[in-house]
Amino acid sequence: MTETVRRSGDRVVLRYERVLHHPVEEVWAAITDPDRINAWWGTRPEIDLRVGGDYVSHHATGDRVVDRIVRLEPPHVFAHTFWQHVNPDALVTYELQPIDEGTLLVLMHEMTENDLRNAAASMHWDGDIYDLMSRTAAGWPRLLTALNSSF
Amino acid sequence: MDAFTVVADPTRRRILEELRGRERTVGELVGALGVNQPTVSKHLRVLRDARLVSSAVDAQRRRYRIDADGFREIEEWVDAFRRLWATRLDALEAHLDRRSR
Repeated sequence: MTETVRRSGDRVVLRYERVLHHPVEEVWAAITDPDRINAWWGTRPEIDLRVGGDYVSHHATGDRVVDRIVRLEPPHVFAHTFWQHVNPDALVTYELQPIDEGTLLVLMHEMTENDLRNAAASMHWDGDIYDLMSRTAAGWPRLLTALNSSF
Repeated sequence: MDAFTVVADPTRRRILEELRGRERTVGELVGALGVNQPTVSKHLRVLRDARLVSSAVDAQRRRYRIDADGFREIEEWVDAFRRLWATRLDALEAHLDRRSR
């Protein structure tokens, strides 16, 4: 599993690569079939599986979030907006590539810096400040390395 | 300038790398980076304004060091999303493994 942070202009991309020991078709079903998504995500979305179709997710807080499917190339590419009403420019893309071991899953969460700021503002950073600082002091070199490698 | 923009500059990233784990004077940074002193001072000012670097005077020499405060801004933004997806992908993988057993 690798994680990178890329920045291009005002856009930030979080990119995850993961090798899954399962065929591409099996992974595709797990990320596009509502019952299968329910089994690992913990909520059952309503999905109108076509480009431009709605991806409606329900959250524990009672929020009903309507997103839109942007790319659909079974069984390789699935992309949808992410909390469109809050982050209009955010996009989540799953790319599935067949490899000898099964599937290489590349997940990209792309957003603008403004989306990131909105997200940070909507989270409640009310944890213990000393815990936060110690975590940060330990974490920043890793983050800097990730940022460094991405420019 | 926000922390993302500040860190985006390659010279400033090199200064931050130089300051990892040790304090440095302007003169030492000039020597290590091979960049002239006014340029290093200009970048240090930007880094200080963003609270990525702090300084203290010791024996009449000003020494610069990493300041974690500015990095917290970047870390908080990114880490929340990083953990979100890392956790979800763990769950997806476990789900697939369970089904294939």
